[in-house]
Amino acid sequence: MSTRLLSIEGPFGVFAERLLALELPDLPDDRRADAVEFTSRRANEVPSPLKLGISVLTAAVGLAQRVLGNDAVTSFLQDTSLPFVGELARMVRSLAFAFIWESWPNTSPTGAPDTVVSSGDAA
Amino acid sequence: MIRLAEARSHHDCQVLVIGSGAGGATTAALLAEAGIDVLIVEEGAWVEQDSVVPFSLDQMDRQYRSGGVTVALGRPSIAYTEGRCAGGGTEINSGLYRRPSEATLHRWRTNYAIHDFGDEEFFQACDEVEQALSVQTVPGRQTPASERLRDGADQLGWQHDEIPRWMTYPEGDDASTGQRQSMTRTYLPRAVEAGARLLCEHRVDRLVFDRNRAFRAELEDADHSPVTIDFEHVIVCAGAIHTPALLQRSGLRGLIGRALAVHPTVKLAARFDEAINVVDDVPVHQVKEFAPELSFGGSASHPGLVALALTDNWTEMRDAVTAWPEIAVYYAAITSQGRGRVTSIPGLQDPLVTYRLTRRDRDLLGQGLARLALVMLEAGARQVFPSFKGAPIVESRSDLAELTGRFSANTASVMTVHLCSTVPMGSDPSLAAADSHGRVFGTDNVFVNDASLLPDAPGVNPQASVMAVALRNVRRFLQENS
Repeated sequence: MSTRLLSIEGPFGVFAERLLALELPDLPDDRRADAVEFTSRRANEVPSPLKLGISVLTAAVGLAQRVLGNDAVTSFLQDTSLPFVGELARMVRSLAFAFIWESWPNTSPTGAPDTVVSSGDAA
Repeated sequence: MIRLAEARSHHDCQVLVIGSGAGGATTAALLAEAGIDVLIVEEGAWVEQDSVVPFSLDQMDRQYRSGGVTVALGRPSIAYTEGRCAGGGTEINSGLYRRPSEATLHRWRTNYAIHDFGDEEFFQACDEVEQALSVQTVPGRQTPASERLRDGADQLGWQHDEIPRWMTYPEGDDASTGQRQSMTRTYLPRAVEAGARLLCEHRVDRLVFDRNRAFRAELEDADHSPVTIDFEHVIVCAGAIHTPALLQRSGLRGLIGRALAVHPTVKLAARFDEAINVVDDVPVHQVKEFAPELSFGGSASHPGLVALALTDNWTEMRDAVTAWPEIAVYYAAITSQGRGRVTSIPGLQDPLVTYRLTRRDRDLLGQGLARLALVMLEAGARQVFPSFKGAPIVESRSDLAELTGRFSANTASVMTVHLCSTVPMGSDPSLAAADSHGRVFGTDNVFVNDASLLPDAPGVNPQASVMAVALRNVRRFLQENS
């Protein structure tokens, strides 16, 4: 159950894709797909009690996505400060952003590729 | 590469050492050098040190447990990291080394009634560790991020110093060529040279007992095939999370796993006017003006981690991400009065880890972050980006009050890399889970010899404490079992 829920095609992947589309609108599609794949893979590797919790939360997100639509659910989760529920967006954002800027350090704040950074790498 | 043991469905040995990190490698080397037939079992793989970039996502994939995504649940939850590879945490940490204070040793000795725990013997063990690991300060210039931290403390008249590391510098005073003297470069080769066998990518599921005596370990290999190991003694060195989890899965409870201690940290990113970011190294200076309650230091700061430090307030702080060469990430660490738990749950492979900060801890994290921001301003930072939701961008001293006012530990990215105290040692079974030399209460031949034994978090990087305690205990084991 957990693996499907946390796959890139499942509710977790759909949420991650929509969140990145909202927060990094200029990120190219292929990079967004890579970031979602990375985030989903990491979510599947977390310790089992945590994975169980994320899976339960993601199941509820999947249900809400079907009833309310992907964008409405993503917008709610993006800003909510509800305990545990709010951690889902935080987790996706943390993993995806770390992946994006490590993989492509000259990404702009909106996700556009090949932005000139402020200065060269130090020593 | 070191010669690894051949995979088989059954092994025999005199002493089984579970885990190959700072505790396990040290234990195995001394036992093997004393002529004991030792088998070391390590859950992770052997990864050559030069084959991964330090602090990179690739390293997290190959050497961290769960890719580095491990969390102690609570409000706030605390992210932590553990090594899962030959050499354990010593392969992935910053290599900083500091002895515990005499006050810490006194507290442990008296509060937990630890027998034969004198300062002199302990610090002799530290001497031995320091020689084996080539502990030394950086021979040339420190990284720019480290110098900024030092400069900021100097401006304030605050105490600071350079933390030695276990590194060698083959090119003389070129600090960028340092080679980490982790367990895969030191104690593990020593152990294998002396005849110990090292079995990687095997996970121990449980120990099997006959009354109070364990005689067999049940494992899985990398293909999930069952493996058994019969032994006379077992020494568990799987770290402060997985040592208690294994003992619990084996039917041992009591105080095991009930007093997890950590150094919670909060962080910020500081932007300067010039490039300071060295992506594959960490600062070696720490600010100790408020130690042991509060310490400030520097973190790994490659672009991904700079972005991560900005995510809690991305809308306001995101424009800084393209300036990552001018940014370094720093932390404020506290000695916590809170405690956590490690609980093995039937049917789940990993334990549930929880941690509860006290009110004092929360206040101290906020104070620490504000003081660290002040250090950064004094060091010349143009902008400071604290990592908590709703944080202001700090550009002058007048912004610090706003930082303090808005801070809430519940909305901060709290993390730790120092985990200990889940099987505390001592002679009083009402306080400790293992005796003064690491034998688990209620057993005849099950020992622990890793960070789990430390009665509380030492207030400094704990590797020196872990290794010195391991040396002390294994020598006692040899005396009693020779």
